[in-house]
Amino acid sequence: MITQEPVKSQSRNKPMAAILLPWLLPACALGLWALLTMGGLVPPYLLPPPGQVLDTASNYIFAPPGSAPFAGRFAGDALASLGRVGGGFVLAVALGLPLGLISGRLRFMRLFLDTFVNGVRAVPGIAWLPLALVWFGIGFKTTVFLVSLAAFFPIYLGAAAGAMQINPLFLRAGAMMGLGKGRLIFTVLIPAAMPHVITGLRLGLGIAFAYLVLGELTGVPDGLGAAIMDARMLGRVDIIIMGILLIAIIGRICDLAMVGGLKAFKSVRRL
Amino acid sequence: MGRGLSDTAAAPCLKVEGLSKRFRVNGHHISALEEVSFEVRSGEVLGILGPSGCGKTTLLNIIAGFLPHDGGRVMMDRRPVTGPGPERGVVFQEDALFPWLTVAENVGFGLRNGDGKAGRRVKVERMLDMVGLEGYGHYLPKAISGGMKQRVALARVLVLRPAALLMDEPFAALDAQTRADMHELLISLQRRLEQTVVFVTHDLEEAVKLADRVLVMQKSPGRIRRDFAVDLPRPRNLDSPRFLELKRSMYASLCGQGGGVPADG
Repeated sequence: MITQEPVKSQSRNKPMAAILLPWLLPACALGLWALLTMGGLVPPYLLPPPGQVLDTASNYIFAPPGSAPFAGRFAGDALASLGRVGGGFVLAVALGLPLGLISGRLRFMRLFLDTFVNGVRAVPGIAWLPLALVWFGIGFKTTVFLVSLAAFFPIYLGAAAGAMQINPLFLRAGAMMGLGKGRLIFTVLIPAAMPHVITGLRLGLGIAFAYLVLGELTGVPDGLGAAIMDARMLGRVDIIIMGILLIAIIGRICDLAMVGGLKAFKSVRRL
Repeated sequence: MGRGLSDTAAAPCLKVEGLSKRFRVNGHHISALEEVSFEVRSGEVLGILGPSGCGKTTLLNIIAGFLPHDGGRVMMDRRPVTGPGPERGVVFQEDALFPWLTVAENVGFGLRNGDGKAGRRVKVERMLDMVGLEGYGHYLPKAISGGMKQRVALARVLVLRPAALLMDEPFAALDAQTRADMHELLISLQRRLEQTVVFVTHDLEEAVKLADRVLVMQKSPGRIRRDFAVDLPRPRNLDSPRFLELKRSMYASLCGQGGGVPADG
């Protein structure tokens, strides 16, 4: 009768392939990059070789600040950027999650919100930039505004899809066992909607990083996007590439951290 | 069963009076239920038998409090039913267990904090033993079979000691052998707990096998056509002449014959 192992004995020893496979594509990209640059196929002023970018990165991260341009700026830039992403993302979750769940469950709320939300969604984030600069000036507030605006939509749509597609028997079952509306939301609706909610959160966090850089390109003094923009002015392609790689790494770590943190919920752990 | 007990125990537990329900389909009103009245005594097993579309599931959903009704009333222990509640436990036709909870967590879901953690665990363990799932508490629903899932579905409502157990074709999706096992389990639990049960089915044999009384419904409009008392001792012999005779006359009633004796409530 049993078709699967009990919950507790989950696979602890991953096979080698599972450990290596995620790194295969990055390794190939790195190999291709090395081949192109060191073979002289691409000149260094367009694409510097990996070794040079690595040197630049170690200087950017570890050297004492002020010893050279960009030296030791990493900690400050990363903190500033993470603060902006974090602020914007939290704002987007605080609005998108409840609104999405409500519009997924209540038809009149869906009718009320959908036209407006999808209309605003059609406007690309860059179109908001001039207005955001007028309203909030250069810096933290503009970036947070852009990040939260962009991250809101995937989070809202994920929550709405999740709430709409849950098995309606789950809510009946919960009510039948004596749960009130409020507890139903937290013990049945959200866990049942979780797969779509997570997808929305992950897409939202990804796009949050994209708009972070857009917000920081406008002339703020610190942040990873600002470093990239400064580097363009100075013609430092190595810094630009390093910035791109650092954003990729930090973005991936944030995604892993968020998914890992969400595993505190049974509905995520047992997906 | 119920009728063998003292007068107080045999008092009506559930009372349905003049119940009607209309649905609007493409602008037309369709009468799903019309003037449906019956009583269920405490400890009784009532089967509601009817062809698909006769409104039997609608009737059960109204009793459960999932659907509003248009006329008449439903009284549970002398109080009108206004919404779902733990005194009317429901076992659904399909699997409606929470997939993110283990078997034990599903069974303990409706238990109040008042029992304390240890108290809840004891209740859950005891209930799992009663439905034959000892040792399966830490499994997730996706890892157990359809029959076991319905055992969990039964356990999670019985652990709340409902005044009435409502079941909507709970065994229809199971294979014949598993269904027979579930029938046996249900009857043994029913006798042990003196549980009032209302179940909906389209399966004649299931109705005669399990119920003390069977209401045969007709469709358009959904009404009770006849009220059969199943005067068979338990355990029931499925080949006894009386069993077959009851099946035959219920079948005739389902097909709209059998004298057309209307139910008198």
